[in-house]
Amino acid sequence: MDVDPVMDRLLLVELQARVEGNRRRAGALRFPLAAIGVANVLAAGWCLLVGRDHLLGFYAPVLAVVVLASRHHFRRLAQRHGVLLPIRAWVLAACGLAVASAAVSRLGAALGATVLEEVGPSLVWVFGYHLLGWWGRNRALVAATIVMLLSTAVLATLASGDGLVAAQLAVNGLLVGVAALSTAELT
Amino acid sequence: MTAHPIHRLDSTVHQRVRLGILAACVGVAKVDFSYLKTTLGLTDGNLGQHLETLESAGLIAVERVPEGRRQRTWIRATARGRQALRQEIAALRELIDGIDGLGDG
Repeated sequence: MDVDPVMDRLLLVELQARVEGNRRRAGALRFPLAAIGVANVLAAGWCLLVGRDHLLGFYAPVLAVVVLASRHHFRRLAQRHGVLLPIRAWVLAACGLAVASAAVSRLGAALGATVLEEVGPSLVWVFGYHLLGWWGRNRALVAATIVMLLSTAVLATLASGDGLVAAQLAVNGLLVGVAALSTAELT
Repeated sequence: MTAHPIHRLDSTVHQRVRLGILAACVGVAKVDFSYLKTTLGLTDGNLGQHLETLESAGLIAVERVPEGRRQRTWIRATARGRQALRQEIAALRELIDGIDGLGDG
């Protein structure tokens, strides 16, 4: 096989640019992020009404709706642009985060560690958002997670119990919504 | 002794257009024929030939979906195709690093 150092270098640069471009496309999760932001704000209301111990019961059906709506949205985009974005990876991540945050909350309750119970689940989601933002080259989402951390620290000094959990959900939801608005749609 | 990276370049994959097709398909669920044609600046016939080569090597899967009176062709990279692209990029990087290393010596 012939090897041309200049052409191979160009080829490598082109390939890396294409792979990186697709990564950005896959990270252009404007619709799912906006939907998850709204879900979090609604979850804050649910938490105040029903209590933080019943949040998983709220998230399970709501996440299913978010997934179905996002799949429908991505299919519509694919009809227009000829590119279907992947959905499986972030859906699995979201389900994993929902379960992990519930587990952290239960663990905190079992150990009698109130801080872990009230703040832990939010931090699990912040970690997940941060990884998602890093993976999808989504600077707005990465920046939002830093603000989430700061706001969690401040809220933890101002509130406790269901009020604290609800406040974190509302703030995180709004921040994810803002990040979604700053995220480009597939082009 | 480690084989020279040139031996890890696959002749089916190591072709500018076919590499472009694989790179365009990796990271997304699937792309359609028109998208590839526009993105890579190819004619229908040329793209079709390369798709056949990649499909027969098991590197992509081609799906033809009826849409009204026409068919829309969707292309997705198979696990083997994704792996082949990763290996190709690694081999190219190693090859270029080796050449750069010669200049340093």
